[in-house]
Amino acid sequence: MTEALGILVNGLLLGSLYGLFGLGLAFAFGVMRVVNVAHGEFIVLAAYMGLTIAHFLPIGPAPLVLLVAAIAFVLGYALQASLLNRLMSADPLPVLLVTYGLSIILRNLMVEVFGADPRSLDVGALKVAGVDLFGIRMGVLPLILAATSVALFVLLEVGLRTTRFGRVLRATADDAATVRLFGVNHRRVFSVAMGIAVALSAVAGSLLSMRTGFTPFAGVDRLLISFEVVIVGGIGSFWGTLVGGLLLGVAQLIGLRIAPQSGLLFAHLVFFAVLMFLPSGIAGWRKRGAPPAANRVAAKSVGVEEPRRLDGRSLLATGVAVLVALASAPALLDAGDLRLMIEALSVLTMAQMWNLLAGYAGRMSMGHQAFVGLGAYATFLFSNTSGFSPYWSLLVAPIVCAIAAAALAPFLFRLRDAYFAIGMWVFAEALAIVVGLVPQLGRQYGLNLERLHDVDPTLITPILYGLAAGLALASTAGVYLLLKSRVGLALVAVRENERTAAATGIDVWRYQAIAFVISAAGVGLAGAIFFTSEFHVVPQSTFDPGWTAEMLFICLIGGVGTIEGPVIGAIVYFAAREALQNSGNWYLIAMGVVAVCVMCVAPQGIWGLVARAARFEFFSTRRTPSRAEARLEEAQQLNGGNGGLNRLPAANEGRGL
Amino acid sequence: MPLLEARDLDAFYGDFQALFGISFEVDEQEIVALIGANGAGKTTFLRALLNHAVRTTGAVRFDRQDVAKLPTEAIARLGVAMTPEGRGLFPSLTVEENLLIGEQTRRPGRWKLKDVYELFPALKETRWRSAGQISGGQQQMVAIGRALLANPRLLLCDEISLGLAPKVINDIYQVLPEIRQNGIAVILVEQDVMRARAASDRFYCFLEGRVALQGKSAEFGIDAISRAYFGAES
Repeated sequence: MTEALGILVNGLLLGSLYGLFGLGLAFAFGVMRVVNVAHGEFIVLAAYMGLTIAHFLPIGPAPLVLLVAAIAFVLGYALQASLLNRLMSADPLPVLLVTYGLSIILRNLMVEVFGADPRSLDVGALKVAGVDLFGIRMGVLPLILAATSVALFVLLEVGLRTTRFGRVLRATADDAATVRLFGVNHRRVFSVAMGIAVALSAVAGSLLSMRTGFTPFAGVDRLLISFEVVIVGGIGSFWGTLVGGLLLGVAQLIGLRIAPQSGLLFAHLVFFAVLMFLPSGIAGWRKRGAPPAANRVAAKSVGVEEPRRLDGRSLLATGVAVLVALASAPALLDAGDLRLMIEALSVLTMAQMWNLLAGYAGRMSMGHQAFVGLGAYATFLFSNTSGFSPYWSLLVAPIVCAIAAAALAPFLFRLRDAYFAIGMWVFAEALAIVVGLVPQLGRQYGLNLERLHDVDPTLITPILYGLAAGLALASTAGVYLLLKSRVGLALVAVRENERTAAATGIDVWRYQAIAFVISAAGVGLAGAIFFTSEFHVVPQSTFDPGWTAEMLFICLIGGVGTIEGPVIGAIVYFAAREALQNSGNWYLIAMGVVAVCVMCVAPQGIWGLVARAARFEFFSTRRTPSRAEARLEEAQQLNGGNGGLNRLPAANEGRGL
Repeated sequence: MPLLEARDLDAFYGDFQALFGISFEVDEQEIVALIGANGAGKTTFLRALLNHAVRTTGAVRFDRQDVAKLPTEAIARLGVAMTPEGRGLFPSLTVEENLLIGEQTRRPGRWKLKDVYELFPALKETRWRSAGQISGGQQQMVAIGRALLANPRLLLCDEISLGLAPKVINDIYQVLPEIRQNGIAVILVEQDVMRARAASDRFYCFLEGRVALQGKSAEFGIDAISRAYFGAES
């Protein structure tokens, strides 16, 4: 009984810190509708800053935390003022991509600077000091941390309610365009808001570092827990955020008591349970009301001039050339290079599939590694237990992934934009933890491919290469054909303006779910092919967020929302990776820097630049006038495109009487 | 020298051009009506003066200063205030907080919170309520009061009578002379030609993004204005 009470109390104390994690995220989202994916890295960075300052300056914990918060405020302000303000629009994708790139940069910079060993902030005797309250042993430090956290919630709430700047912040959150009419520079307000958000996270981060150890890789867990806190509490409710934090803190400690290796698994499970049964969170349970749907009119310029295309004969010639090049690779390359080709082609498939979901269906995922791992494990398990050869077992991967995606879609699709992206990430993390706990899946040690004695060992790599190449071609062609179909038209309509599309009778969820299932199946098969060529799976490499980082980065440099983009991006990415392969983490940092720069300078990617300069498209998914005529009926049924003012013919303008 | 002067002003939404070479003047303490049908470009013109949510080319001078390239908030701080289309109140804020946002221009002047409550006594009773929970007429009063607290020299009123009962409209129009007496010029966007003509010194009538007719309000009959309004051949 006392033990149960002890877990509850300590869970609440831990949860108050989680609430503070969520508060930074919720505040930034509340004011700017922006989700900072680098949130977790800022939390960890704050801990390292505290460590560094404490090393050089002999100051007590309280001034230390204040100093870290001040530095974090400046960082957050600078981030918003220099980078994010220029990317803010109705389309949430640019900010997501840039902060994702930033998180990769920060994480790997911290590895380079501070090393990967766990560290913690030394607070001397305070760490072990305890008091007995009501018969329960409680640490003094956790009590102080919880009190600080609750005090910050109160301070923020009171500040927002009673100060002049708080009033301006709330007004800007309501309507950033209208505050400008009264002399308010909304960008400055945004910058201050981001400063506050990062400072709050920094306080939470440095406080947590006094309690538990951290590494540069802790940012992912920090981001996911912050995000779960916000969703569980209910988006837009600060007090809900605190309650969400408390709930998740208790859930985690109970979980660790049941299964010591489970990490954040129970927090993840609570998150999914809330998503299923209370989709608008705890705060939304009492006052029901759907959050306003973001109306995302993509600010993409529409070229008036029709781009050129290849005629049938040149297209055929290009296709034959690509096929001949791919087919002659096994004869020309050694085994090592051929394995690299398997990886490159598998990743190209994954990027193409990620792009289908993010670039066309408008649903960005940050957890596509879930399907890489799921596909690989499904194939290994099936082959090892059934006795089928690994080649035939590959077919299991897309089926399992498609089923998983179909089962996931109904409640993960309740989340929008950034929240969907991170929700996928939570799914991937939860899956990785579960796989690491199950004995039949080899726990942390993974599985070996056992049915190798039936197959000719010299043929494995060439055959898998052929499969990878075939899948890459098929996925590229498949996405093209899909986009030419009715489904593609509907997807693009939904991406451009979800509300209008829904109003014209398009079942938004159905089409997005179709894209999601296809995307999952494709990624699963590609992951299975790649890991079959490795003969071995472990949770850490199969469920590595780096897979999604690769997909995202390839699409970004090539051009999100084009079919050519992932192809170009994959070539550039693998060339760069091979050139920089001895540089350790620096290639990841360089990748993040390039991602951020591309998003700021040329958000349409390399292919976008080429296509615009040359007015040329390989795979045109536009509907030409003649074809549009033939599909008039279909267009009328699905007519939900970007019905902006600039698209209306002049005759419709003018006299409105 | 007029208080505000626009010359050859064009305005665009993306590739779509909404205004064509507008020339427009307002003198100190003058009330100028801007009338025209739906889609004639009235709201766009007000936005263009403030460089707000529309791209413009051409010259805009306010108080002898070139403001065409200034950001919206800078023009607001020079003394141009607007009651935006749809009132543009902040629903998370109370009535009083909405009014106080007007003071963010930090311009010295006659208008203080108590003056707005004297002008619109109804607002004093509802000052603690959320701006979303008051009547449409009261909302329009908040929008006007908020603009007055910015202590402007020029007030842009976008369809302040829209959606209101005739009696409430009368109440709101009654404050215009008092606003003018306090040294504020007004541009009044209005669909009701009769009311606009009665309340203003001069008028401009827009048709399809161009000035179709302009002059002293007292010198033109309803017939002439209506022909310009509908673009009928005369």
